[in-house]
Amino acid sequence: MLSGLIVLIGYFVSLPGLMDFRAALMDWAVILAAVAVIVGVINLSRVHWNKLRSGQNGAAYSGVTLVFLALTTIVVLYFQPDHAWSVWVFNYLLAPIEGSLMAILAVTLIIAIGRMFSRQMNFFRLIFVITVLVFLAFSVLLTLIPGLAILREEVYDVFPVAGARGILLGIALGAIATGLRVLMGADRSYNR
Amino acid sequence: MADVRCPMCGKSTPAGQESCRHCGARLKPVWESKPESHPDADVPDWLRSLGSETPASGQTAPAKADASAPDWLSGLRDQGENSASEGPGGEDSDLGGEEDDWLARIGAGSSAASPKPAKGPERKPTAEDLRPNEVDWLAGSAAELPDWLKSSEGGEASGAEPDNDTFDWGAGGDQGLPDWLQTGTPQKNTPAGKVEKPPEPVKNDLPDWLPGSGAPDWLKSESLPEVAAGTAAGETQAPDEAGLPDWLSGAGNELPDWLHSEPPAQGTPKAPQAAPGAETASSGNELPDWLESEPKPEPKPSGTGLLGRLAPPQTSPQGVPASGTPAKPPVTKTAGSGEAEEGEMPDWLLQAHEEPPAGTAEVFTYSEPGSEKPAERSEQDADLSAWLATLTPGAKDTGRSGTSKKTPASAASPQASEETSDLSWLDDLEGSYSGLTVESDQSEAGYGTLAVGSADEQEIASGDDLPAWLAAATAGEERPAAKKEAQPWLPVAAEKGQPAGPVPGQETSGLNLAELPSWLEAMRPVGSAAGSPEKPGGGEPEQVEGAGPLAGLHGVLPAEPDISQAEKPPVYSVRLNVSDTQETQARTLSDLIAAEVQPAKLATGPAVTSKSVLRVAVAALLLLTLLAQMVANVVYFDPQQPSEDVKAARDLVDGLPAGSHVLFAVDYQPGFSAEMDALSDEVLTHLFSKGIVPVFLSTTPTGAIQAERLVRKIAAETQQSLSANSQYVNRGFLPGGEVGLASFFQPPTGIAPSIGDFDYKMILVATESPERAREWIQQIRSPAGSAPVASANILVVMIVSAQADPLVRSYYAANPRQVQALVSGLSGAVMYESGRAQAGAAARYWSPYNLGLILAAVLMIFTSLYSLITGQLELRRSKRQAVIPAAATPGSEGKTA
Repeated sequence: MLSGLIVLIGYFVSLPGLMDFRAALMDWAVILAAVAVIVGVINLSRVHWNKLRSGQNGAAYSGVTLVFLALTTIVVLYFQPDHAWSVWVFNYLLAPIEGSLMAILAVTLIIAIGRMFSRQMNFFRLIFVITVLVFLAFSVLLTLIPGLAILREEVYDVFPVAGARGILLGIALGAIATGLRVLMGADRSYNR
Repeated sequence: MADVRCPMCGKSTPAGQESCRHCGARLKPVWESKPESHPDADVPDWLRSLGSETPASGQTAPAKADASAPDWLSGLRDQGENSASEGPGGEDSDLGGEEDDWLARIGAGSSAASPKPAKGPERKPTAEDLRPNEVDWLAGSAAELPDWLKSSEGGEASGAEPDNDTFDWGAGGDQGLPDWLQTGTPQKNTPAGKVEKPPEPVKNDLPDWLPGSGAPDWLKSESLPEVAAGTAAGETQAPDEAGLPDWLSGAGNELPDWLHSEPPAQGTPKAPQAAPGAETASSGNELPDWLESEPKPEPKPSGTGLLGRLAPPQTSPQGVPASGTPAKPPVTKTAGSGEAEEGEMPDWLLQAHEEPPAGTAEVFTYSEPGSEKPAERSEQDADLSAWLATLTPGAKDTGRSGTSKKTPASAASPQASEETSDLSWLDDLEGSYSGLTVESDQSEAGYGTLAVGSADEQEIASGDDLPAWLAAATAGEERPAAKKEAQPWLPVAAEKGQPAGPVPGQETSGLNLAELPSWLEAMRPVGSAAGSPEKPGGGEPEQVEGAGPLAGLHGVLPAEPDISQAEKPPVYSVRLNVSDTQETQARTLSDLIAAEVQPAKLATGPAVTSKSVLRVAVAALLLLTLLAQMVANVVYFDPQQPSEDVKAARDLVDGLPAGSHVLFAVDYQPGFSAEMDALSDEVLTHLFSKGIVPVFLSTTPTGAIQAERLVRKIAAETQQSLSANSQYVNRGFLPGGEVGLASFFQPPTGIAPSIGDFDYKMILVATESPERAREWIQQIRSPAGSAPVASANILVVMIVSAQADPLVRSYYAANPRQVQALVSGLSGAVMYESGRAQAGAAARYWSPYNLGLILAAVLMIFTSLYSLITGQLELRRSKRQAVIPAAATPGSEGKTA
């Protein structure tokens, strides 16, 4: 809590000693975060190792995870991240897997919107579906219909920014309140 | 030499002296030779004498002679001798600390009143001195003598002092006596009339001191009635008369009737016609009525003394019962005694009338009153305690058992009857212990029966003078065999074949069994009592408690519970008393608990559903459409004109000098690499074409590899080699998230990358996440002075996905702009690329991308319409089904009508 107050004060007051101490605290936080990543990798390995030993359901997936974890770690640590083998692992393993998940997400979203009206029809559902269809169609229509280009900035700059600013203001106020509560000891950080 | 402390005065006397030198009290016991014969010192002597048996076999002839004499005579003899030899203080010597108080009071009172001078010669040691069972209270001193005895003695000296010591049986002679003595004392003498004295034993029974000068006159006159009666009857009594001393023969008419009723010798009963005249003449008016009604003597084979009567017939040398004696001799009645007078007789005396001699009886039966034969039961039996009858072995039976044979001595034992009739408290005591005695013998010899013993038993009998009930109370429970030996004179009733002891559950005379208060009865150990009877294989028989608050209960106090309860314990019901509701609830709870451990069955539906079919259909349609467009390579959608934000980005990159460093943050996930790679590729290609050195940094672990991947891809596309650290710098991973970004914009510490490492002219952030874009923007635009470099002058260009465009655009639309340029989505990449002559990846994706967007929108519209129509139809159908049942009910029809 004291370190948080010191860092917070550093944003408003520029004192030589305070700024140095603030910089040291933030370096410690970066180091601890790096160690936390290592600890996270170790914990992930232990959990899947236990699953593999217990032979419970999904043990095979845990085995695959452990194998490729070890393989990736060895390759990246030995060849460094800029090596061709490291890029190969990313290009042919990591990127296709996550890209496939995004493709499934696209299909799932289409079906979810289509089944939305089969349960119950209300005003908010109708607005949501119309908004999605307009944004999808408008991006296409802008290219197909050149006269609609004058509407592009009005459509893409006014409504989304208005909503985003409201969200940002809410986020800012919430972040301030939560930060003060954490610094005063009245609350804990959500990620702890 | 050590001194001996006198038990009476407490003063010390040199050891070895027989009497105290201060008070004259006797220091050594009279029966010093047999100290073992007094095992129970607490028992009064008189009681011991009652239970005493025949003297030891080693006794001498004088003892035999004394055995034939009545005990009360022996007691009187001792009394006279003691009083003569010891003088006034002699009574104290005999009244030891073990004497009963009441006896001591009696003796003290009498002695203090009239101390007797010494009479007669010095006492000779007789058999009574050796017998521990002597009646001590009588032999104690002359002062202890009852008045009637004194008066009898005085009668002997009536010639000298007739006014003072005249013995008046009927008038005031018994005023100083207790009631029991008043009524019982003459009965001691009456046995003389019942006892048959064999010729020779009669001679021997009369000790030498009797005819001597030491014998009192009244005692001398005691034998006269017998002689006179025999003479009057005309019977031949030569042997008796020859053996009688002079004082006996010279007795005058002063003798009481009970002395007149002295039985003749040889067991021959007196003739009924001889007694009345003689007795009436001799006794005159001085005799009480009850004495006049004294039953006539019965033949007695053994000695006439108490010892002789108590001694077992087979052990007494002279007291062997004659088996041939008549069963019941005729009873001699005195003159004037009639049926009317019989009602005045004491019960014990009435009982004595009916007692058969039964001289052949060797078995004593402790019989239950209820088990007696009606013909033999007399109405006086209830008053006579059975225990006292058992104490008198010579009596054999005093009326308790009508079936057992009786010796004449026992049948004519008025002394015992006198004691028992007056000591009613002993009856109660006996009744309380009789149950113990009898029950303990049940398992062995039957109810209340003991075998008459052999020589060993005689020894025990002589040594252990405790009565049966006392022996049973003390040691009978522990060693029944020993107890059996301790009462050798007790006959075996089993030989008679009938139980005589108190049967459990029956009411004994004078003792009401099992009369417990209700509260005490409620405390009975019901469980043990219920489970104990009729135990199969139970080793120990149940006992009926005979004393205490548990009297009459069966088996409540087992002697050895561990042994007696060896069988299986009783099984008690464990069924709970619950209601039906509680039982139902308990069953429900049990079912719930059992259901918790049961694995829930998975809902199994059809393998092919409409949802899965629709999902596969949509995916297939999208794939086929995009593949068809990529295969055909037909461009249906022209690139759009660059927007203002995209134009700003291109202008900023174009404005950077060659060789300058720009910070390029690759902060997007590999799943968004298709879109983000197209955006990043266009900007990086532009940077590399301008000779700008990008410094890659990422807050995600895969950012460094993705940056390397972009460089390699650009190098492949541009056909140029891009060397690290010269044409680009990859700083790798920046941990800490937002904190790491804040640290990055702090002065360099050499630990983590810092914005001060290079002179960055521009910061380009490629990310698909709006939050991460916000973090970058917020940390870059830190307050002035907090950062080592003037970050406010650093150009910030955001390369973001279409999903982050609305949030980042707000920073771009701010005034002043927090983001100087914005390139968002595939459309922004196409517009950024439109300015260059070479088409990149964004141009290749543009047509399929637009085609996929249109197809997705169409699918959404059609599926939404389909869902809307089917949903509405289902809703109407459900409403219609809800209305029809309501209309079908009679109540609704009535309302409708």
